[in-house]
Formats: sequence, structure tokens, C-alpha cells
Amino acid sequence: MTDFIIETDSLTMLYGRKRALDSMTLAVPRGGIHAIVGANGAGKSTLFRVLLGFETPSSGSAAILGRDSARLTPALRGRIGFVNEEHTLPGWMRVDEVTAMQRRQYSQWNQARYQEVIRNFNVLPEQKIGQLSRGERAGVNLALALAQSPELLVLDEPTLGLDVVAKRAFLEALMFCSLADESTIIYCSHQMEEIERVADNLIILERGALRHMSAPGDFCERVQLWVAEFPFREPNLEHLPGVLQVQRIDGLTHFIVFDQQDDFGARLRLLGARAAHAMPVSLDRAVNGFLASSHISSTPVAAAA
Amino acid sequence: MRDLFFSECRRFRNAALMFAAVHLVLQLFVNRLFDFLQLRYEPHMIALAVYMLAALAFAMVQFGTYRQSSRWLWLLHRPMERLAIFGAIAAASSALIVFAVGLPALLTVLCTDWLSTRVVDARHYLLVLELLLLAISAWLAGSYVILSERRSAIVILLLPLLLMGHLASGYVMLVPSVLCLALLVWITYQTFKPDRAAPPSGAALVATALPLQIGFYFAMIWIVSVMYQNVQMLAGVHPLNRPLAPAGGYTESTRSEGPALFLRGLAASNDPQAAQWRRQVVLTEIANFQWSTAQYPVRHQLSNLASLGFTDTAQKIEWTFSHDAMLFKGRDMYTLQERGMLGAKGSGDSTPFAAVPLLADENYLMLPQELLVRDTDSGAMHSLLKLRAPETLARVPMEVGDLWYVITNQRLIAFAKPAPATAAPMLQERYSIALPEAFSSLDRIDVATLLDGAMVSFSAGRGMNGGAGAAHQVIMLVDAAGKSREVARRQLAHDFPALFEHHDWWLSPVLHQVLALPEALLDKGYILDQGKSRYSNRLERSRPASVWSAALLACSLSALGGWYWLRRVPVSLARKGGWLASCLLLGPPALACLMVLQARPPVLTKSAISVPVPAIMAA
Repeated sequence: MTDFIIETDSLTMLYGRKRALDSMTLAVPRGGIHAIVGANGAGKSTLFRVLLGFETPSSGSAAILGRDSARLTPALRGRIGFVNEEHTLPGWMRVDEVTAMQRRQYSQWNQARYQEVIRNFNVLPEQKIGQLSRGERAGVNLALALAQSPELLVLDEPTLGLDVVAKRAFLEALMFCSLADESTIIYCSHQMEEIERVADNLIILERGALRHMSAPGDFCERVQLWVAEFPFREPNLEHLPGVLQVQRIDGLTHFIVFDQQDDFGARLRLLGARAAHAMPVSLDRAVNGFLASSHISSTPVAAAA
Repeated sequence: MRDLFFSECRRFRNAALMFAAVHLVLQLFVNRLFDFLQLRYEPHMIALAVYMLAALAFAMVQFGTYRQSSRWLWLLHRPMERLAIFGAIAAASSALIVFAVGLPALLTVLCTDWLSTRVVDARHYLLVLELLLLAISAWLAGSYVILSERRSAIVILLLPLLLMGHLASGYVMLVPSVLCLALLVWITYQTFKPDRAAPPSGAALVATALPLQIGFYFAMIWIVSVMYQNVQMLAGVHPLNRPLAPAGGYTESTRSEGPALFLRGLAASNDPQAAQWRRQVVLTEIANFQWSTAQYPVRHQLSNLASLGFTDTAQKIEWTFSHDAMLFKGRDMYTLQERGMLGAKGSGDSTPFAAVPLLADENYLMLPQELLVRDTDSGAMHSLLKLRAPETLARVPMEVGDLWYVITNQRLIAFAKPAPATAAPMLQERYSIALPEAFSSLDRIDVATLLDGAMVSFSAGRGMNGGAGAAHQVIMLVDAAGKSREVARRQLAHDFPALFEHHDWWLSPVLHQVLALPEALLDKGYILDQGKSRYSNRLERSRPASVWSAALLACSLSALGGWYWLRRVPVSLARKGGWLASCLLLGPPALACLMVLQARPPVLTKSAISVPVPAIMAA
């Protein structure tokens, strides 16, 4: 059995002339909660679709649970849970009917866990799915996914539409599931506070390519905020190493930098800074700065076109 | 599977209930207005088209939702075999179609059978079954079109029409219908997979490609025909769309007045009397007639080629032919009660007819080997003429002078006109002339009565514009003793160039032959040419050298196009070989099919690739 629950090798997916996945080589180890972040169009959803065999890659390979994604058997599919942000469920069925159907199909069904999660939502068994609010539908979907006791659970923006209490309950259930069942959870979200809370591993995708993978804490340690004051004309900062983002706020220049030590302050002073101070950043700020460095909005018009 | 089945039934439960109720009410209402089961095939075709569209719309709504990527993933990403998921949805959909379409139709037939005196035969129950098969086929075809990532997949809809649109016996038609259904199930199942955009492979590829190729074939011959004819019309040279038809051609022949046609024919005569005949024919009254029918009804056919009923206004009886009993059943026009039967010997007789009759004007009933006339006063049926099989009657008597002319698939027969007082005895043959051209090519017959006999012109050319080949006008002289001899023969010119006349062949000779097979294999009641045992005319036509060259060129260019297309397609050598062989064999339709099923990856240029990002990886 391979140590990696997801493996891709030079995975490329083309939509016409656009590269949705660009030679992505990724190996996600078994166990734990892995958060995948990236800007819109980074290739997260495409990656999931390829991994589940719903898209054929243009080149490269993808494997999930050690099996080629294009050849997933029903038994393997039963070991992989998937929840998308739309929380697609058949609107014409009642909650108890959907639950009964899933219960019969999934041999590892955990009714206690289903009850535990669903009780956080004001959902009646006889209600039709189509009559539920988005949050309630999300609750049912997440309860179904967790009750299936999957070996691998892929969650694509699962908490959109949930209220604060429901979100907390869900995240707790998720962490419990990860610990109790030794499940591997792939968690895709733009909510950094959620990731900070639950994720063991952070995977950053950008324009179809893997840009970074490490524990969230390790990542935060490598990103720093430097604030400098330039009393006179601001020098050319283009050649400073490791700069992800530069902002000017109230006469001070803020640098988000990656993998820079104290000598970065010395460099700033050499460039004329009266003062330069380093400080840690939150995961949200760190990821934001990281992604902003090559975000399409910061790309020159000619290159982006 | 059971869960998904019930889930899908539940999804469309209300819609099916409403459809079934409206359908039943409409069926009963229409049947109150007229006997829908006994209508000709045209209104039946319209009704079937409506059912097909309804089934198509059902598939579009159903899979229009499922095809959304998130819903597709929800449906297929589960611990169930793909076949079980497809089976559950197909079974549920079929059950809904049976409930909404089949049940009301069956109830209507049963009500008509049990509660009325109208004629209901086994073929009408078969019609309900055929209706169901057609509706389910339309649902499958619609599902395939919606699930397929290719819009051109719409041509699959031609498959049910090609396989099921034949007026053969209902029992025989079950074979192509079930075949069509099985093929569509297989094709649709191949599209019912997680990655719908992925091309099918192996047997599935063949099963998917063949209907597509047939569809493209039809689309191409239609486009070629419409475009060419429109250009001709715009240029003012279309033979059928200008005041004066091209000289010497089929169109001119078919539009000519009798004398003018004789003059054209006699102009080609070397007979020393030709000049004298030319002077006579312009002064003589010329009768012009055609065959009455080229096709007979077939027993147990699902719809009616022609009306199978008539009204005896004197007796106030509606007579309707029963395929089961092979005789007419009567019912009172006012009380709607049964009024007996009408057999081969007339009213009150229960002798079955030898074949399903064709009702013609003036109380004639045509059977392939017999002509009957009904006496409206006594209700008796008299046999006027009997032929020996395989000679087949093609026309009711045409009175010219003191003779009655009848056309068969072998001869033109002249009979003495019966005296008005006689009680319709068997016709007495005066003379007959063997048809100089095949019956299927015969267009018109003109008879000029001369002082010492008659002159008969046979003009062929029916089907000439569709590639039937050379045709002639032949003039025969019949003397007073009834002996005939050919006095003139003129070859009719082609109104259209050979490449247009044969365009349905050279675009794909193999597909043309394949599609001509159902007409040859199914007995649809066509009157056969002399010496033929089946209707294989389209299979046996000869093609000119230019048309053969066009076919070879089309196939070669298709293979070349296929090779060019496949250069950048990442498929195995075996599959490439298969595609090229199919292009070479089937021509342009196979190339079009290849371009649809084997999409080419985009050409990536540097400008097309997104801006590279720096790789900052954890140590």
C-alpha cells in the first residue's frame, strides 16, 4: 500500500488553450487534515474532478487510494467521500429517504455520527431537500458524508452558508472523524481561520501548479511582515529578495516577505529606511501575501492577456 | 438500485400523473371525434412524432439537471456499479413512459375494443407496444444527446426513424424496433460514465460511430441536394423550377400534352409510316394515365397505407376492414350497432379476402392478383379480373374509347368494355402489351386511338432524378388484330448531371447500400418489377464511370482528411488504422464522425500558456 493517499505526476489539464492544471506533481500523505488553498481558478475543483475520474487529464497521471483515477471501482468510490460547495442533493427526496438510501449503499455507515452532526441543524426527517435552506442542506450533506466513514473525505468549500455554531460543530466532528477513524481529509477552503484551526498540512495551489506544501505553522514562520519608514524618496524595491507584497500605509512601507532573516532589515536600512521592524503574520495574511505575489490582478496587462 | 429507481420515479411522479391524465382525456376525446386507429399513416406519424418529442423533452429535463458537474458527481460517485445506476434510471424512466404513454393508449384501445363496435385488430395492440418502444427509444436518444458533450450527437435521432419507420407487418417490425432499442441502450450506456467527454472505445466506439455516420450521411445528402438545387434555382436553370423544361428530358416528358409527346417520340422513328402517324396524332384524342398504386397494404401493418373503410350511404353502413378477419365489418351509421360483414363475395358473406384490399374509386377493390367491383345496390362483390402471381395489378380500369385499360407490373392489358346491362362479368381481354421498361420506372402511358388500331406510348423515367438510370419513351403500334410492334424508341435526356442524380450513392456507397437494405428485407407491399422477388431496386442500380470516380475520390479524400485529423490525436495505432479504414470505406460521413468522436487536443503556443509562477517549495 502506498504511503500517499493522493499522488499526481506532471498532471496537466487543458481546457482549450487554458491550462487548468499545469504539470502538477503532488503527493499527499495518508492521515490528517490537508487544507488546499488557492485563488479562484487555481485548479482545485479540476484537481478533484480528475482525481475522482470525472475528467481525463491531458497528460500526466493521477492516483487516489493507490489506484489510477480513471479506474476507480465502486468499492473504492465507497471509500472516498466528496462534498462540494453546492451541497448537491436530490431536491425531490425527503431527508429520511436520502439518508436511508445512503445508509443502504455505504457499508461503513455510522448512524451515531450522522445523528451527532445532524442534530446541530434544525432539519426534520420528513422535510424535502428542496425545501431546506442552503445551510440546512449543507448540514445534511456533511452529516451524510461523515456518516459514510470514508477513508478519504474531500471537502470543497464545505462550510459556505453555515452559521457560526453549525460551523464549529462541523469542524469538531471533522477533527473527531480524522482522529477516530484515521481518515484522511482534504479540506478546500478560503476561510483561513478554519484552516488554521483544523489543518495539519497546508497545500497552496496557484494557476494549476503546486506552489507550497507544509504545516500551516511552519508556513507562517517563514512569512514575515516588515514595516519600514523611508523619510525621503522611496528607493527602487524591485530587487529585494523574497518580497511577496509591498503596501504603503500611513507613510510606512509594509513588506510581506518569504524566507527572509534579520539581514532583510539591514538591507532596508541600507536603502535609506529610518527604521525597520519585523513581526509575525497570521495565516490569513501570510497566504494572502503569498498568493498576491503572482495573482492575476498583479500581473501586467500584456502578460495576463 | 432499488433506491435510485424509486427516487427517480418519485422525482417525476406528479408530472407522469398529469401527463397520463391529459393523455387519456385527449385519447378518449379524439376517439369520440373519429376512429383514430383507422386513420392513414400520416396523422399517425404526426401523433408518433408528438410522443417522441414528449419523450425527448423528458430526457432533456431529466438529464439536463444530472449533466451539471456537481449533480453528475453526486449521481455516479457512489459504491454502485455504473450499470446498476444506469439500469435504475432507465428502468424508472421506462416505467414512467409506460405509465404516462402506454397505459392511456392501451386503455383507449381496450375501451374501443370492448365498449364499441369499431374494428380493433391485434395490430392495434401491437401499435401500442410499438408506440412504447418508439417513446423509450426517443428517451434513450434524447438522453444520449444531452449526456454527450457533442451537439452533433443530435443525428442519433434518425436511428429510430430509420429502423422503425416502415409500413411492414407489425409482428415483423418488432425485430428492428427491439434492435433499435438495444442499440440505443448500449450507446447511451456508453455515455453514462463519469467522464462523459472521453471518447468511447472498443465495441462501444463502433456502436456509437455507426448511427452517427448514418446521421451524417443523411445530413450530407440533404445539404448537397438543397444547396445544389438552390443554386440552380437562383441561376434560373433548375429543371423543375422554370417555365420550359429542358428539351428531351424526363421533366419535359412528364409535363407534355399527349400529342406533343407522341410527336417527340415519333421523331425518332424510322418507320416509313411515321410521318403519317405524326399527322394523325395531332388530330386524335389521346388518353393519358398512370398506375393507380405502386404499393399495397400489408397484413397486420401498424398503420394504414390508405383508408380501409367506406360508407354505404344507401344502407347507412360504415364498412371497416379487419386485418384479423380479412373482411369488412359493418356498423350502423346512426345506431352504431353491428351490421354484419362484407367478405370477398359481398355483403353478408364471410369469405376472407386473399389480401388486404386497396379501395379505389368507382367501388373498385384492388388486390394484388384480383380486381373486384362492389355492386352498390345489392352489396355483392364481383371479380372482374384475376391475375396469376407474380403478376400484380397496378391500376383500376381506364376507359379509352370502347376499351378498358389495366396496368400490371408486366403488361398493359386492354379489355373489351362490358355492356352496361351485364352484371359485371369477368373482363374479356382484347390484347396486351408487355411493358417495355421496368414497372418501377414507368411514368405515364398515352393511348391514341387510330382508325385501324391504337398507338401506345410508354414513358419511363420515374426515379431517374434519383439515380435510377437511363429511361426511354417507347411507342408501340397495335393493329386491329391486337398485335403490337415497337415503332419508335427515344432515350430521355437526364435533367440533372449524373453527380447530382447519384449523390446519395457516391457520398458513401457502402452506407447507401446498408440503408437500402430495410426496403429489400422488409415486405412493405411494393409492386415488384418483373422477375424480382424483393424490392431491391436501390441496391442494384448501375452507376456511370464519373459517379464511380466521384465515390473513389470522396473516399480517398476522407481517408486523407482522417489521417490529417489524427496526426495530433493521442490514440493507439490500431484505432488510427480503424478510423482510416472506416474513412476509406464509408467516405465523408465517417470523416465527420471521426472529427466528432476524436477531438484533437489544442495547439499550445507560448502565448497560450499562462504566466509561469515561481516555485517556492518547502524544504
